[in-house]
Formats: sequence, structure tokens, C-alpha cells
Amino acid sequence: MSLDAFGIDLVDVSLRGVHAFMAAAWLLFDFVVYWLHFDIKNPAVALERRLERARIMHGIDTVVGVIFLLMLPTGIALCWVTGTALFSTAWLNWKHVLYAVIVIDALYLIPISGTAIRNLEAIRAGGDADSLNLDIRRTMNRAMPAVFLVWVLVFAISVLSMLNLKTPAGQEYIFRKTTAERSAR
Amino acid sequence: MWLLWMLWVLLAGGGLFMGLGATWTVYRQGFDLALGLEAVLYLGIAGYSLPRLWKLVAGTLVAERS
Repeated sequence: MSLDAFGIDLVDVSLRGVHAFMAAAWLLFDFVVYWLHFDIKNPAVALERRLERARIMHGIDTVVGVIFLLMLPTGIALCWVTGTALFSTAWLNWKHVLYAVIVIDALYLIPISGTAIRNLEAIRAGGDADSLNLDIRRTMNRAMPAVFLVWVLVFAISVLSMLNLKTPAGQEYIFRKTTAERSAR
Repeated sequence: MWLLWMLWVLLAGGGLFMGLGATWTVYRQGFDLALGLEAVLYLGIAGYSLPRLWKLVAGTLVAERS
């Protein structure tokens, strides 16, 4: 499947771009979530500010979740468009294995998402601040190793993909055909 | 709620597709460590996700009937 314009296969290049952009956005948004969590778990910060940050963090976390879930379908579509064998390409199989580990890691992290908002709202409603703050801190600290593992795995997957980037058959450049290549078709 | 649907549909569907695909490839082309791991992990993910997807579907059907 291809849609050529000026020697650029638009479907191929767009899908590669979207897939790469999703990986970059995943890491970037995850880092923002990480940065926000310091204030949320800090009892010295004003409660309203913590709640506001927790809501923003939960919103960004939802976007990260959608990106994470759509990585597999876009990757499969990319294989179909580029004619890459989905199960017979050695490096791609390792990439699938690493993604599966991320899925399992995410299944551990998903129940933790949103607990800070619930606890902070309970504090605002007059609940036991000390034990609720302790619960927020404990839960967030428990999530950290799993978050770091996701970063390492996404980075490893990106490196694995870059090391196996191929120039399409009959092309000198990765993303476009030269005039000579276009006229040779 | 939509995220929950998306989560279990994609994990159950993706897990089955990838797990069965890897298992079929092992059967056709012989054992390979990455493929074997892929088959086990994705079928495990599908096995974990399918009951949760079923619970979601059943819950929606019950809610619609009542």
C-alpha cells in the first residue's frame, strides 16, 4: 500500500512518523508525570495545589495510557505497510517481548493511577491527613521502580528499532526516492 | 470508562493476535527463544485480560437490561 508524492511514500512515512512520535511523547509525558508527583506526595505543599497537580497528572497519565495501548496496533499496521514479516523478523520478535514486559508492568501500575486524587479529596473532606499522606507517599514510591522499568524498556525498544532501520529496496534515501529512482519505475 | 474498554479490548485482542501468531510461527518454523517468550507472554496477557473484558461486557449488558 503506497501513496506517492514527490518521491515520498506518504502512508509509509506518516505511519513511521506517528509511531516514532508516539514513543517520544510517551517518554516525555511520563517524565512530566514523574516531575509532578514530587509535589503531590509532599505534605508540606498546599492541599489545593497538590489536588490541582494530581488532576493534571491523572489527565496526562490517561494520554500516556492511550499512547501505550495504541503502540501495538500502529506497529502492526507499520509492519503491514512496510512489508515486514511480523513474526519472522528476529529483532522485531525481541521488540515484541520487551513490549509485552511493558504491558505486564502497566497492569501493575494501572490500579495505582488515580489513588492520589482519591486520598487528597479524602483529606479535604476531613479524613485522617497523616495516614492518607502516608498512603499517597507509599503508593507513589511503590510505583517508581515500575515507572523506571517502563522508561528503560521504551528506550531499549527505540534503540533496537533505530539499529534495524532499513532503506526501502531500490531507494538511496530512507524517506524519499530520487528523481532517477522515480523515473526508473 | 472508555479507557477501560480500550484497555481490555486491545489487551485481549492484541494478546490473542500476537500470542497465537507467535505460537503458529513456532509450530511452522521451529522454536526460537524470542518467539517462544512472545507466545507465552502474549497468551498470558490475553488470559489475564479476557475475563476482565468479559466482566465489562456482562456488566454493561446487565446495566442495559435493568
